[in-house]
Amino acid sequence: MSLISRWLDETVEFWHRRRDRNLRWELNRQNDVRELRYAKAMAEQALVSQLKKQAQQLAHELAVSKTKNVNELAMVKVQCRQELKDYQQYLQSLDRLKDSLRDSYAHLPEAVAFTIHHHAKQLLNRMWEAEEGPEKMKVEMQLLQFMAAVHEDSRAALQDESKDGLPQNALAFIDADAELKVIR
Amino acid sequence: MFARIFQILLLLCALAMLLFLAGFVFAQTGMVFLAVLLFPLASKILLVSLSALGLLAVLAVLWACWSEMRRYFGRDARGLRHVWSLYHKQRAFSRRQLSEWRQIHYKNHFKRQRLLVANNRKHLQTLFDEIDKELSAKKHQLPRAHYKALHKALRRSHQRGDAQSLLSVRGEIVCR
Repeated sequence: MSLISRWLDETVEFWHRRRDRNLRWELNRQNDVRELRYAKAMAEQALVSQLKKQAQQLAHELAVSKTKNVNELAMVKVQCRQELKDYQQYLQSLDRLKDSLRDSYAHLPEAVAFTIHHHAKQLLNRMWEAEEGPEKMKVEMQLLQFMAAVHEDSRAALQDESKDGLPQNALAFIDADAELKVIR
Repeated sequence: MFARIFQILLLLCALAMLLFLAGFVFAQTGMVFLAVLLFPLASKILLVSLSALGLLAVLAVLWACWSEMRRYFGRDARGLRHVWSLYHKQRAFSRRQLSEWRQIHYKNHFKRQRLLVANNRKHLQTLFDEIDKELSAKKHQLPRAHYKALHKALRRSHQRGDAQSLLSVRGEIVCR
């Protein structure tokens, strides 16, 4: 019986020693634990404030880009409408050019008028589809020169200067353009 | 806390096993009355400790759920989710903006093409009418089969909207 009692006493003593050791360890580490908790709380607070600031910034950026986009879209729509109108006016002016050519040359075959008009339309489309820059400028100049050549032919025909009844300048322009294409 | 309770319950299980072992030893050595005393005690201890372990497991699961929920609805997690949602909204908005721009340009291109096609059709019709007139004027000069072939080629070219082909048909008419 005394053996069991001694064994129990030793066990209880061991238990107490262990508890004391744990308690001492906790007391020693109390400051560290407090500091750690404080640092954790501070870090959490800093993170929350940083996230809040970031969210505000993002929301602001979103609102600004929405406003900007609405304005830009409206501008692009107006620009596109204007471009379409310009294109239509170009087509109408080319139609008028063809009519004036037919008026100037009484016996001009429709095929020649069609070829001249078709070439002008091709130049117009090339100009429209070219990227902004020197290429577009070049095609635009070509179109203007071609239209000037056609006008010159019409004027010459009206003044009865043309010899064989065909718009020579315009046809020469088309030939030169075709040769240039072949060389390329 | 959970760990401490878990340890105690494991100790109780071990105790129950030891009691079973002791009961077995007593039964083997002829002390049956002790074995009869120890077996029910050991089984009850084992039952109680295993039940408590099960309960502890349920509590641990509930505790884990609760702590996860606290973490999920915590201020930092909510802030982070808010930032992410704004970031995704911004990205979605840029994509939508790009698609709206593309749509506007596509519509513009389509309308321009429609204008061009209408204009081409008008001038092709004029050209067709003129060539048709020229062909009709030469109807009696051409062999009947050739006239028919030319007329057919002319109509086909017109239907196809092929200006080059119309002009080549005209070339054939003029050359005759």
